[in-house]
Amino acid sequence: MDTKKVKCCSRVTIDSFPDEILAKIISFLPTKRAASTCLVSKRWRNLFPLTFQLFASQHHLYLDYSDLVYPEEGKRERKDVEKSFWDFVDKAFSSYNSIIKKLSLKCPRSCVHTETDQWLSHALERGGVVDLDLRIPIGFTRLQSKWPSVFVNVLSFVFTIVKEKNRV
Amino acid sequence: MSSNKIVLTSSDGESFEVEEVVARKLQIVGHMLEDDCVINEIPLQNVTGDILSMVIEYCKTHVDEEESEEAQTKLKTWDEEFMKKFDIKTLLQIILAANYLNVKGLLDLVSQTIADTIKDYTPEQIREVFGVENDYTEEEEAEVRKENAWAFDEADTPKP
Repeated sequence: MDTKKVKCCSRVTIDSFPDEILAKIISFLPTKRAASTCLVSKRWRNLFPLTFQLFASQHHLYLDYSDLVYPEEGKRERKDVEKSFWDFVDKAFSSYNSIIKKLSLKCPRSCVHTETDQWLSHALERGGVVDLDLRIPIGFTRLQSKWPSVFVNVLSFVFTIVKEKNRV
Repeated sequence: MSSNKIVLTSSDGESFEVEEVVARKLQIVGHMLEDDCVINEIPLQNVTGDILSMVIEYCKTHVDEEESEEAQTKLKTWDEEFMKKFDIKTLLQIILAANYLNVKGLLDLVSQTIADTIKDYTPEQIREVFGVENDYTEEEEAEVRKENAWAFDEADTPKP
């Protein structure tokens, strides 16, 4: 292993790192991986909200329901797994107060209409979203009727209607 | 371009003579120069010579950041090659230095590089790389896992 000459106090331990730097590193991770770093230690658990506050405006907030696709049969259908995802998205939006650079939201057929409407309204009202990538099933959200006024702050908008497939 | 030279001295006494425009890429130095423009030698207490030399190398390369696409692409390629030279322990030292010296471009670059390195790591591997001790009790860890069940692959989860 490459052990550089240790000069005076150059030995790096993670305890000497300010939260801001760790949060910055985490902010460059994919959202799902960033969330799973909460398991590293108690300190890291607290970093995630900070990551949001400090840096989500610079990066890409990627909330993808298909993150719930696991190799293991049945995990996607597990209610607790699904709930943990909805809770995460809820928390993310409620702790977040400024403009979001890019928001990708992919939703499945089964997700609750009102919740998704709420998330979008939240995100759009709190300063707006610069770049929105929304993938939802046809006829899926009631927000559609309000779109022209709600999306006034969105500069780039990719909207993909997901064709429903019969899941195995 | 100013050819005024500034001497930067590291915590372990190594000195680097650089052009003022390069030194100003270190915002900490930029601020000192604004406060008192007769400084020629600047001691930097929180960074060792080996790390400082890398920061200076970055700043020299980025001293005139041209807007043209060609120049940007060239810089980007240089950044990638530059980052390949370091293992993660060294990157962690560089990021601390970049934070202290306030070199924003380098801070972003190293953050991105570290994130790319650890993005496929399990929490256990991240602990190992960063030397973090797991201070959760078994019950607490199970609770955190449950709360964030969507974010964990089954492969990361120890078998009960």
